[in-house]
Amino acid sequence: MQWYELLTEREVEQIHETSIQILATVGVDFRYAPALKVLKKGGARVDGERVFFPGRLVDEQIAKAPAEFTLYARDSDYDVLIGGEHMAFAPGYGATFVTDMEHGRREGIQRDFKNFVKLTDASPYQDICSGIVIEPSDVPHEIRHAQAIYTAIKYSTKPFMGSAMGVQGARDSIQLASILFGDQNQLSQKPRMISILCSLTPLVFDERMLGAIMEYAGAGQPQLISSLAIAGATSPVTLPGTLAVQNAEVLAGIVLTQLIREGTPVVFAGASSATDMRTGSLSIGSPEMALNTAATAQMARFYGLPVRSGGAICDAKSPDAQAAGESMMNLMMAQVSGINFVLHSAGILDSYNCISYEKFIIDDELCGMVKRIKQGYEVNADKLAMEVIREVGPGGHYLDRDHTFDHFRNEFYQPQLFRRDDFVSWQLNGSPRCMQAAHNRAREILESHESPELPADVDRDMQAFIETLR
Amino acid sequence: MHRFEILTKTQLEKVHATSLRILEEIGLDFGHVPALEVLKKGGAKIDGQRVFFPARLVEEQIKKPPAEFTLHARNPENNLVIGGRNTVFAPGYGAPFVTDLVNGRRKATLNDFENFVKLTGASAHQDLLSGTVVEPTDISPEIRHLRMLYASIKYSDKCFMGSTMGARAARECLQMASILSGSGADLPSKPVIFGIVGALTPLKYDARMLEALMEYAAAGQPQIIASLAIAGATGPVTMAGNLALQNAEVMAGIVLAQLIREGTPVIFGGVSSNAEMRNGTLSIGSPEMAMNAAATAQIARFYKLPVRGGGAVCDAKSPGAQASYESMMNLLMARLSGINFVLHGAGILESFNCMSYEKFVIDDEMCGMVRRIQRGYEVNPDTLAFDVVREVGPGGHFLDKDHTFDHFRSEFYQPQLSNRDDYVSWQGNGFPQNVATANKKYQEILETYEPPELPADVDNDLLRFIEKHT
Repeated sequence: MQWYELLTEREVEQIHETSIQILATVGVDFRYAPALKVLKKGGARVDGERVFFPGRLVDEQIAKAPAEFTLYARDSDYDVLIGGEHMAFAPGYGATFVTDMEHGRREGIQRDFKNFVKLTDASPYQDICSGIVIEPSDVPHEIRHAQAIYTAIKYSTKPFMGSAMGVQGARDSIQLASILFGDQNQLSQKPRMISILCSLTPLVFDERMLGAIMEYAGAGQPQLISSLAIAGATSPVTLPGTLAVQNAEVLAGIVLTQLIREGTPVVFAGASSATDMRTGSLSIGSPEMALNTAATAQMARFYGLPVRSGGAICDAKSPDAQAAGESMMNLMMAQVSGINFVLHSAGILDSYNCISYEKFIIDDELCGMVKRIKQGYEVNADKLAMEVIREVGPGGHYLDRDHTFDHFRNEFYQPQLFRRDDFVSWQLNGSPRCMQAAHNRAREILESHESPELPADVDRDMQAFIETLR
Repeated sequence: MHRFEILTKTQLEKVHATSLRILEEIGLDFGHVPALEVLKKGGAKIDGQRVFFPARLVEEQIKKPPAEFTLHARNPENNLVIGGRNTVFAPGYGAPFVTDLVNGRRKATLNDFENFVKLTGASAHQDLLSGTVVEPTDISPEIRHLRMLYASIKYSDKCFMGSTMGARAARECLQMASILSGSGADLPSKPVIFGIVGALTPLKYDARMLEALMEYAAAGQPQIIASLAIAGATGPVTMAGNLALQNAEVMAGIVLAQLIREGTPVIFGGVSSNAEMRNGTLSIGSPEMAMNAAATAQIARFYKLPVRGGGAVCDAKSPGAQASYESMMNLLMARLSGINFVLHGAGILESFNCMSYEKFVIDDEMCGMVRRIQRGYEVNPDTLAFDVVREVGPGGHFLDKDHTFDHFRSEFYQPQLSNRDDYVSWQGNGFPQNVATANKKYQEILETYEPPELPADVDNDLLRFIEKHT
């Protein structure tokens, strides 16, 4: 399989050179003294908060991060390979609001959080529990991050994500994981969680993110070093310029992680897009988003790093036709351009502000379809079917052949939700909409979901740890 | 820059070799004596209706059509290059039903046909008219082709398609095109009209299609030679075998076209997909459809021929989430895998059975987005924007920079339909849904569309021709 590539080799180099020039001569502000110390010691030039990176330092440090790593799950069947030709899905992240057909849009609460963990666990296509799949507004701030990890562990055996809330959030995440998986040494041998840490575009990393980056890197836990530049607002309006800024920021963050602990696993993460110039706000359902995804994939391959971008993301406010078109565009582009880690692969709406139960189920079907495409063709004598073609000959049909029965289940994607019956049958069934079917499916899953076993002492210790944070 | 490729080189060669064996050892039935004569004279082995193609004959003839050609429109600004890196869009084709939000689903009429010609004429993203955009069921089948072609010419000055419903219909369309191009001769002197000819899978061509194929080839007018093999029903259930079958059928048709007139332009058309195994019907909203588009693009490039595949195609019964997910998957895959000609680029529903006014407008927006992706990045010092990045520096913003104002219109796709408001504004506007907005939009277009002028003498000649042949 050959990935789709947007840029020529020369263009990739031009972007890289511009990023290096930005890092060396414009610099990046690191608003956290311990980070400045590490960077200075590592060979960067530091002037106040401003850090200037010599090209050689960047090249050297980037080379140290692994091209591929494993994220270990509580149930080893769910271990996830990140990098190479692999593609992992994690649902929406960080939405403030939640919506469903029955109750409409409202602030997310802990019950919703728990529900989305269950939906993720039950999904055949979502690989990782998203960290803050929604913000549970009814959980006090001081324990929200810990409660999130506890909930992810309690209701799913898939890998999960750690908190990005500064030193404390990262430390607590590591502590909680240690209760289940053993001490920090064991954790660094077998990474159990991945976190997303973002720059503050343009060209700034703040204290909260840097604190977490340093904690996780110290513990050898993987992280998505991420930049979301908004072309025309927080970065140049021209997409190559935005890509160069995004690239510079991600490289700067990765250099820091490698200086803290050589070889700490990172994912090169770029989620930049365009400004909607009428409103001045971020647009992620735009074709510019899909373009940036393809370009990001290429840049990460140039550096030999796993890459995150794309998602079932949209600007649409409800799971309608617009949501569908935008989400599929961004999900497909992630797959064909070789993205390894797709955050926001199910449920997200309204430019990241809201997560929808129905859209989660619908997007999950999309993820299944995209994964089928990724499997590609198997070409051998049996699959080429020359003998069956000869047997049937011109004008015959294949419906009653053994070859058909033997292969159709593994050859064709089996839709869970989308309907393919003819119009008349569809009409007789009351013209069902996929929204309603998705709504029912979500309810069914939640009613029948069985939580995995969690040893009672682990459960108790985790709850006790959370109490200490209040 | 590199297109997405789903097959390895070895896989592609195996498929090609299998197709050659199918053509040589199994053969195809050609249900039209003049075609059999041409093929026999050309070097094929004939046994009754069965035609066996020596590999050398196929490999020789497949080299003869041009890798790209220009299709000439009444308005030269609308001329189209078919092939190379270009992708053109034409709306849905052949649906007997039509639907809109207000009037529901019904049999299509000439009035609907004219409306879709106008919508295509007004569209910024549909490059040419579809031949039978809907079946005008109120017009007698014997003269349908005349009225459809007249409407295409009268209400738009984009390139158009002619009928392939047998020799007479094909010939009369070629003559009407000739009247329009003013050559005075019986047949146009350069490509101005084209048809779509389909195999009757598995491994047959019927008399009606062969007559049309021969008429278009003799006139040197382009044609799409297409196969739609339904894996598990009319083709082997395995995607690789289905592809080999599709490939054999298309090549057989192209050989005939080249034997009739060497170098006659053809488009390699592959729109195979799989059967929905619960009821044995065609599914085109499946990931297998998208995979076949990618594979078809690769194979046609291997033969150095322009290629047709993909489309805004779906199994959904109404415009909405399922329709858009499926359509975007198939549309984006077409572009990223290098398809040159996308038929069914807008409006089609229900596995080709129905055209929707609202979906036409929704899909047209998607074509615009895909087209923006097609345009890609322009990388130069101005777009890399280093100087602007330096000027703004860490922590600033780009909203008020001249660079932003100078570039945003050309750099960002400007949506015509999609809603990018924030939630509160969207709520304030009464929660507009995409399909309802599309309903208003298509009516606006029809109300304000002014067809380009058709010179009165040409109009009269065309009407006289129709009268004479009715």
